[in-house]
Amino acid sequence: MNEVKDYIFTCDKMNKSFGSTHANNNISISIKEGEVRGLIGENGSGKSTLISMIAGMQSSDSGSMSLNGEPYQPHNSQEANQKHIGTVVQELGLVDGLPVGANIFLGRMNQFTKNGIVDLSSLNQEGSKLFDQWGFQPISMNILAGTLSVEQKKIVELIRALSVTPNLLILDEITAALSLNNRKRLYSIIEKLKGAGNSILIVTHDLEEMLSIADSVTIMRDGTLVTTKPSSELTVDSLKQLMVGREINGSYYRADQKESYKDRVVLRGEHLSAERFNDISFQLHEGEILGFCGLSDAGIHELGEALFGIRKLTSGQIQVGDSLNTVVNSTKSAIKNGIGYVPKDRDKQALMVDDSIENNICLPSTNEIQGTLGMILPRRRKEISEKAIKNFDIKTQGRNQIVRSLSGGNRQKVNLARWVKDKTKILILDCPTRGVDVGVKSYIYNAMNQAKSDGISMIVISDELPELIGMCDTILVMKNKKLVLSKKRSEGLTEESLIEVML
Amino acid sequence: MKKNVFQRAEYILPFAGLLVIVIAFSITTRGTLWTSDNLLAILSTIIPLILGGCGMIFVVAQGGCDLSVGSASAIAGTLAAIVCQNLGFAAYIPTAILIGALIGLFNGVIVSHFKVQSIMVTLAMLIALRALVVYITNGSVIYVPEQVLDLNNYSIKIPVFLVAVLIMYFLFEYTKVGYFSKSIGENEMAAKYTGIPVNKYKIIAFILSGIMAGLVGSLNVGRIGGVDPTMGNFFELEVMIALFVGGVPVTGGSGSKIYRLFIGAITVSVLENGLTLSKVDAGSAELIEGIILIAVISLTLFIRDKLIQKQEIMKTEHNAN
Repeated sequence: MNEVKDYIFTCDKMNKSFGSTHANNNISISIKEGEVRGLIGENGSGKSTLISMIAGMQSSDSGSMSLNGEPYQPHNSQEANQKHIGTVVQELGLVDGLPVGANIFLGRMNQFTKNGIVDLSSLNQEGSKLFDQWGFQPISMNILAGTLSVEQKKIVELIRALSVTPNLLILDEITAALSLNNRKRLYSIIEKLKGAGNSILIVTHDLEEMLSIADSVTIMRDGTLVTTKPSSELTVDSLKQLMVGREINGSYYRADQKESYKDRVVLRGEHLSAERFNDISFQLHEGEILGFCGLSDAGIHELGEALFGIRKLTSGQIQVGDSLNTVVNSTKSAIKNGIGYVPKDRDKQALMVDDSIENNICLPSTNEIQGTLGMILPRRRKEISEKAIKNFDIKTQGRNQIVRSLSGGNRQKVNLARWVKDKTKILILDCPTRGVDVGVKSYIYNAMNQAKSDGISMIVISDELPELIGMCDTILVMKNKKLVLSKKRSEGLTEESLIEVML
Repeated sequence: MKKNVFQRAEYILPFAGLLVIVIAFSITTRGTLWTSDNLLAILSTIIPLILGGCGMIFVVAQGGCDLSVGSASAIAGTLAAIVCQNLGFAAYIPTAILIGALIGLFNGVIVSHFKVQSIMVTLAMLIALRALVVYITNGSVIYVPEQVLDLNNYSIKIPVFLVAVLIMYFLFEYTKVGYFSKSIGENEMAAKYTGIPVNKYKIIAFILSGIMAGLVGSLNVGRIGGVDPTMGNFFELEVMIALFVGGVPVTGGSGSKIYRLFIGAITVSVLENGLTLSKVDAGSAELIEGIILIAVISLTLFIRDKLIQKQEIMKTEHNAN
């Protein structure tokens, strides 16, 4: 077992089953000192299960792990932390009711405890120091984690993982929640850790990103390990093929390279201003896909909320209707004028996860399905939900299945499907492909193309530039609450040209 | 989706509980439970419970609660009795309902616009309204017209009950008022981001709850035969027990169903009645009642817990990527 010495971490023939699902089937991986290892696979392929076992959150049914050549058998995540394994899990892992500082050192308060009393000021100091050390914008250690944005929460989790001085840092789909500038920062942190001889295990659905940061990539499919290959031998297309197990069409974006839409303007923003954005004016045409991009504080998501009437404007007007003489000033008027909205945080802002697919799908359509005396006929509900399940190919056992038991991709399909209806003329999509795998991603892009050819106009707000460049007719860049650039679809449009303006 | 054992149990348990209680008391009372006089006595406690529950269920479905219904029914009955002395019987029920609606409106506006927890607002209302009833009735006897007493006849009471329950059933199960209320209970933020005017529907729920409290109040005065400052005491708790024993989730959401209220109301009423008939003295009866209710509710919660665990496992299975 001498060759094991250069490996920081190995696991051998790991197995884990949930009921009849064999989530991990004889998984063996070895990670070298200073290696950045990518882990990739479709939703449901067993990545998160493997990670939760390494991080000590679940025990394996069989198999062994070793760390720095010694046997490693964590019973909980604290033990993993003590062995210098830091993890950021896929689902948000903070206690909402505790302040940031306490969240960072949760379970490891002993170092700050004197006579049973936690010395909060030194704890908070230590926390702030960490933010400083890793170059993140400081967050007050005293505010409750529940009040943070998704991105800020992810950063706190990252800081927590880094605070154990990890020899192995595990990142499960963290980049999806980060905006561009923080992603850049993360990359430099990875470089730094790597330089010091530490290893990283990273999961991401962004294949380009994966290939650019990982030294080698392990591919999983249906609970088994397909292969591990150096990144230099892989391309985005070969990765997709290995993940899905068959060849899938190379381009999931639009095929045409020119903007195409009708002349009629369906929505006009006139000098829109609110707390997080300032003096934004733009026009949306029939059948146009309009993209908004910007860094985390640029105000793009807040603009999306305002366009649907959730956030009040301090000045300016959102005009819709045939001669643009109708003003949107509430969600009611937005819906009345055929605007649909798919928010960024799927499980928190969009779906009732403990409720049935049918109840989720019918929710925005009550005005269409109600009959005399406002009666909502069960028959109409069934019609609508079954049509949506069929049209969007939602993998489910039936319309009464609870949304929580669906995979992320299928949840997002439910989220989109409920807005794709006759009445919807304008769709606002905030990060429509966040946290979904390649298969569902390409499905969503197809659906957007279909909607576009049906004359639906879309406003896409996204942190993923390739997605915007691939799908949009027009891209608007925001910076510091203001609109700074407008670009039409063209072959020469590159990510670099947009990033340059954003920073 | 295949229903597992616990899911079935969650459906069946309230029915089973009722069945067990009915069988047990049929034996201990040697059949007295089933005499027509006694059935009518049970019915007279079921009616206000279901009426009050049909209104409060909108608030409970949203994840809130309305503790003010007992006091609201008392003040509505009291004021309606005073008003009908001047305006005649025609104004009696409309006044009671209007008073209830106004109280609901007030509760709803405070809860939705000032973002105060419903338990706080309605607890304050419970105390304040009760004080008002005592103040108004203190030292003076309030007579009620003959027609008000006639309201206690089943030939009038039952039709009123049926019409009111049918309307509420329709609103709750077949219109967007009920649908949105359950959605707010499931995920208030999602409801807001889907374009549902959450505040409006919170106010509507409290108004409906208030209206039904008003109706109950008007019937109470008829049953008692006059205005009594203690009427409706603990009524809000009895209604909530009926809801929860029947299996309406304390957190609200889609599990809220009116038929569950029916089961709960019948269970509570039969339990109360059966204990009295079995010649258990009043003090022990309440103790036994409390113990049985705790058993039923903790069993329901235990099963729901198991259900959630099961779902969590399913979730990890599905998200195991």
